[in-house]
Amino acid sequence: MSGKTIQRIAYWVLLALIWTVAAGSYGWIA
Amino acid sequence: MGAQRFRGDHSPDGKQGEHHIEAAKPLKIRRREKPGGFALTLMFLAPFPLLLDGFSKITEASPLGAATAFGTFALFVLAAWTLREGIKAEAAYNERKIARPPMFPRKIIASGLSGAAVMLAAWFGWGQNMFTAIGLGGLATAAHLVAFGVDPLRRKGLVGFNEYETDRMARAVEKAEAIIEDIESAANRINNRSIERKVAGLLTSVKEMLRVVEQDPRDLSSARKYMGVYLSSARDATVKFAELNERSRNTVKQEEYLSLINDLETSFNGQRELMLADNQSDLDVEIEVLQERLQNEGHLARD
Repeated sequence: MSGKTIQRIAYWVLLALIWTVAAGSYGWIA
Repeated sequence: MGAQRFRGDHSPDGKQGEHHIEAAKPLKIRRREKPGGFALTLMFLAPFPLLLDGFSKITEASPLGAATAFGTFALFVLAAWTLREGIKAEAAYNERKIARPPMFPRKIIASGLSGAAVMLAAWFGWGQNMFTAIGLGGLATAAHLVAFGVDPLRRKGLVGFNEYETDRMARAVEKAEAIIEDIESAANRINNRSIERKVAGLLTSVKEMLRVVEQDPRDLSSARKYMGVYLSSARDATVKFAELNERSRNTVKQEEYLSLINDLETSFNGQRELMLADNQSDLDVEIEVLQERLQNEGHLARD
């Protein structure tokens, strides 16, 4: 796996984390 | 952003035929792209449910909950903003031949802020237990570090010059680049393409001169007047002309301003040539000394 791919995956993981905790706070995720 | 606007014979300030000559010149100034682009924009947008959460807490009459939600949202925005500043600083660092590491490692700070914000949101907002929250925060920090990297932490410089010289020059170049940015933004306010192009030409000469100085810090003393006094007068003139131009168009002042920019460009180019010639004569001396030495040691005796 190239460094660029790992970076991309890390970016989406980060974005998903931010979205999840924010959505969880609002009650979109039980 | 930086697209060159179309300019034809019938455009407001295009004289007939003039653009054919000007169009032949390559556009040398690279306009800076917005750092981070779409990936960064999403970083600003992702935490927006926290805003909704904040408003719903207000309607539920829970001031503490609202404060937590808005506070965490602000922390996410602060992290994304710090990251953007870090990406900008890194681009400036990469562009230079000699540079000091940024005083604040902004990308690393942004990683920490993101992690803290994720932890706070998971713990107090989402209501996860402390360990889960810390785990998610740690994961966010790690992902941030991998995704965006760390700031350049090492001094980038030339071999053979000491720290003091390199630092002094990096500072002088940074100052000059700040003035260049001021001039660029003032020139954009004038909203006149021929002036914008003229100013861009001057700034290209200035930037080329900065690159020459970076290659040889000894040129700094001779370039100092140009990078300081002349460049700041160019900025002051541009700002004043932009202000004047906003009130009323004055062709006489415009001519005066353009001729000033022309003169400055000529003298910047002259000074740069002078510095390059000086470097060349240094090289000649070095070659001569080396040749003499080789001759003395018998390596060139047979010639």
